[in-house]
Amino acid sequence: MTNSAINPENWVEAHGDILYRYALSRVRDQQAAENLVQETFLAGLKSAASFSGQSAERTWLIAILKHKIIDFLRQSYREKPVTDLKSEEQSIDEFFDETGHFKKEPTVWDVDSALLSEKKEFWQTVQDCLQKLPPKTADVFSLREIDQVDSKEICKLLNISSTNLWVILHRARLHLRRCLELNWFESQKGRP
Amino acid sequence: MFDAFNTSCKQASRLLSESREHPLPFLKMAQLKAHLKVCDACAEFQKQLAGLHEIFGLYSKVINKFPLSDGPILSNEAKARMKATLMN
Repeated sequence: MTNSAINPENWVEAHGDILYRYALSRVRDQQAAENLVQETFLAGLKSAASFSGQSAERTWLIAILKHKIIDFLRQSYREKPVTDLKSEEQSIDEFFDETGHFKKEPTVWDVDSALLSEKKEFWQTVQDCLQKLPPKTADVFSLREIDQVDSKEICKLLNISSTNLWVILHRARLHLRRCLELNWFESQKGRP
Repeated sequence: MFDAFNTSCKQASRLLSESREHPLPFLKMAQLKAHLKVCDACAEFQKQLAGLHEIFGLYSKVINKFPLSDGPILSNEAKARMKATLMN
């Protein structure tokens, strides 16, 4: 195949905003997100030979961006390791009463992937719920469930113990399940 | 509600979350299974953990397909900078 599909100037217009929005949702810093997008384009340019076909162009660039985000997180946690285990433990208590029961009992969700994929409002709710988590907790959860990095790898990446990781993930899940339940699955928005 | 082996939902839900990260030791697994038999809330929580996994597994695919009108976008300056870098 020829290299005619590789047009860097077109990349910025065609994919720049979308990559930027994704990067920003993950790193929460405008400058860092811009840098990640630029690095993604540069890396794309270098490995242009591995790119095959126009339709996959964005998917391919997003895959590169995801790696860049993981590298970025590895570097930033080297400088400021995750240490707030105690506060994560304490915040788990918020979700339960004195006898250890759920304050907000889990109810039945209708998770229809095909249907939910089409609902922009749902993904706005997901993003809003994710943003309510403390930044480090959101980073750990996102690595695990969005990037699907395995637990042991995350421990190495962020230099934390498995116990620490499990607590942080659990706290994130307790928050997200309650937030999505209240703001989507049990709310007007979640109804067809 | 009656709690098997005096396991609370607080403990059981933590084991459920943990079980997604590594196989639970035998005793903890037995404790969890006994609790799940008598606790609807935790049984539902277990399904929701799978639901969260499914939802966030779609996140990076879906988040990129909706129109950008109301999302943050790159400034013109940032775009110009990127183009200049890429053309060099």
